[in-house]
Parts: sequence; structure tokens; C-alpha cells
Amino acid sequence: MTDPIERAVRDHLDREAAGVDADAMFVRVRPAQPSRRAWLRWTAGAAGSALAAGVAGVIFFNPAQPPQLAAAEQLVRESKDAHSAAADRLYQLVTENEIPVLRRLQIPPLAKTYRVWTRGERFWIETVGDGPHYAAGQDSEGRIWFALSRKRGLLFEPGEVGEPLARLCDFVSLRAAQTLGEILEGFTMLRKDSGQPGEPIRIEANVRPNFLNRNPRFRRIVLELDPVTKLIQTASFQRHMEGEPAAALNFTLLDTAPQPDSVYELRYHLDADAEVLDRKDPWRLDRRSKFRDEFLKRFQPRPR
Amino acid sequence: MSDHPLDEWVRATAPRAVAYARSLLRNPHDAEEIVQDCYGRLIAKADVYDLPRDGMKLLLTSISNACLNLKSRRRTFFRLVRSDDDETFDDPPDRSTAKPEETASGNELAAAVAIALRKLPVQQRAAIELKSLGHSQQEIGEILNVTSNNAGVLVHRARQALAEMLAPFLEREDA
Repeated sequence: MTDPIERAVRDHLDREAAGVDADAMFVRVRPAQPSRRAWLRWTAGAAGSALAAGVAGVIFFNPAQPPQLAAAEQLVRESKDAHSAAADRLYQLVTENEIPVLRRLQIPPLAKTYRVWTRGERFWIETVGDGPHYAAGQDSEGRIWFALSRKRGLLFEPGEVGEPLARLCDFVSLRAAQTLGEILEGFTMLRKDSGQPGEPIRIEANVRPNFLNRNPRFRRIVLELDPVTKLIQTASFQRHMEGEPAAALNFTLLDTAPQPDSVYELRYHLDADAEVLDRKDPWRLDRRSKFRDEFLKRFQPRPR
Repeated sequence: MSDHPLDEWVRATAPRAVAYARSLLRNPHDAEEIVQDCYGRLIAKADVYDLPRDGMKLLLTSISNACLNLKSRRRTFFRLVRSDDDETFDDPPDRSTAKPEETASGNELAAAVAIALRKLPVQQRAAIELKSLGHSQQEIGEILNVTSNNAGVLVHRARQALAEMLAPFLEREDA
């Protein structure tokens, strides 16, 4: 190897490798008990069922996989495919806030009820019922917007919105395909329905104690799927932040009628003469921050 | 004592595999978990693969995928929060990559390489490390799941960036 850069990198990797305890990794790779016999059977691939249980045990730390899991996993996979299509779905979202946790994490408390339209990564929400009314969404370019009234809107480029509002959007937007993907990767799934014709498919998913899920967004999810379309009919999420329960989110499918593209754009939710505060006009950035901060303050619980 | 061919294979490949995963993730704990997971997945298919012959490349492929997925998953979660691709945001630094004794003993180049690698985007870091381990451009593409041309670009950019960052140290070594 003549290239001095490659030689330097190789030397670095050699030094790092020299500091690795190969025996420690060897012990970790071996199944715990009964080690020798399981290892031999495992590596030889001689006993199918023993192998499956052993590998699942090592990978997921959950050796007792019930036979229903495969069926539930398949159904969640089909549901993910159904939700990956660029189709519009309207859900009602009813929330239960853990206000102290949200306040500590500087997340604006959620409204009680929302209407949530989704299409792939795009979504738009509006509050329903008492309390401050607003609409928000993510458009086709990944920009986050807030329509504070018909006369004023805030538009943020991806990553520009700031943590509190970003987390608010993360809470209320049902990005179904992404969430179902997370379930497939990190959750143990069980079918809870009897499988009778016409009965909704009911699946309970609990996060696996896997190292990839040390700080999962959700701990427990209960899904009801349409037995034919596999679309999510209802979904209940226990939302966690930094290991603490922050909110319970209950989505119910209301409508699947196609919507025009424009409903996911800020302009659709404003009057023609409305003021849009975005980054195009640097003189307005301060005003955008000011209205964003005022918006956040409106949702802070008043001291008694 | 080893009495199974795969025992020997694990012991022989583990140091290189763990070092590679640590370098990509810069978090020793996550790296070891991923390597363990990857070994588990490969060994489960030991009757399909010839692990003593092809295992290292398969292992590096599996580790690369898992590490890149983990980093991408963390970015997805924070995508709305942060716009930049600041890796220090989602990865605590691996203090072991720059050992104090390296600096203390005057091995400045070694310390500089560790720091410079950390500054590379993870795909470039993986590409240059695989190149330094003797893999061809095509193999790097297969391991990182990119085209061969793309692998070449990654290696080239990584080498350029490292050359710039390490220039003072390399010149001193030559002198």
C-alpha cells in the first residue's frame, strides 16, 4: 500500500482492532445456554426449529415467539404497503396530554381533538372544538406551515421550524407508513382478533427491549386494520419522550376521499390577501419568530 | 480452545469488525451490539454461506447496512428538529478513538487520523476504511450498497478531505 492516506487509515484501524477483545465478542455471539449444543446446532443449521428459536432469542432477546407473530407481522407489512400509496386519508385524533412532561420538554400541550389529513409524508391538521384554532401541515417540499388565522401564515423550510413546533408536528401527524415500518423493525406483534370474516384485524404491538429501541417514540400501539384494504381504522399510541409517557394518541379513520394537492399547502388555508411570513423576506424573519413564540405561549397552561 | 470452524472465524474477524463498526458509529456500545447482531444473522445462515471464505465481506456488508440504517433512523427522528447533518448531535463521541497516550507519546499523526476520520460523512468514512483494508472499488460498492462509480467518488472525496486535514502531519512524517 503506497498511498500515505490509506496507510494512515489502515494503521488507525489496526490500532483500533488491536484494542478489541475478540473473546468477549465471541462469548456474546454464542447463545447463552445451553451454549455448546445450541452453538453447534445453530451454526450447522441442522435443526430448523431450534435454529429459529435460538436466532430469534439472540437477536430479539425474546426466545418465546408465539405462532401468531408471523401472521401479525405479515398483516402489518400489508398495511404498510397500503399506506405507502399516495392516497388521502382523514383521521380524527383525540389526545390525552401528560402536561407536566410536555411542559418540561418544552412541547406545547396538544389540543384535545384534531382532524388529520395524510398523504405519504404530507399532512395537514386542524384543531377541532374549544380552544385556540389553527391549521398546520407539511407540504410537498417538506416545509412546515402554520395558519394562525385566515389572515396570517408562518412557513418554515425543512429544519427551520424549531424544536417545540417540530415535536408538535411529530406528535400529531400520523405518518402511517413510517410508523408501521418502526413497528415491523422494533415491536413484538400479536393478533388479538378471532379472524372471523368481516371482523377488523386487531394487533397489539409492544416495543422490544432491543438496543435499537432504547428511547422509542412509542411503547405500545394497538391497531385495528380493515380486513380487506388493510388500512388503519383505529390506532392508539402511547407516546413517550425521553423514556416518560407524554401523551396518548387515538386516531380513527373518517374519510378516504381524494383531496386536491393544494390542501397540503399553506395558501389553501389563507385568504388571498393574507400575510405569509417566510424566509424569503429577511426583514420579516423577526416577525415570524415573534408570531411563532406567541403561538406557543397561547398553549401554555395558565397558572392557577 | 476452538473445536468448530466458526469459533475460529468469529475470533479472527471480531477485532476488525468491531473496529469498523466503532469507527462508523463512534459509540462503542452500539457498535458492539450491532456486530453481535450481524454475527447472529450470518451464523443463522451458516448452511447457506461459506463463512470462513466469504464471511468477512458479508459481515462488513451487514455491519455497514446496520450502522447506516441506525444513523439514518436517528436522523429521521430529528429531521424536523435539526436541518444540518451534524453527526455530533446524534452520536456521543467515542473517546477511545483518540487515545490520550497517542497524543502524550507524540504520535500526532495517529491522533490526527482519528480526529479527521470523525469529521468525514459516514459513507465516505466507510469507503476509505474499506479501501484501506484492501477492498476493490466494486467490492466497496457492494458492501455499501452503492454503484461502483459512486464508491469511487466516496473514496476520492474521503481521500481528498483527509489529505487536506492531515497534510501538516504527513509532511512532518516525510521530513
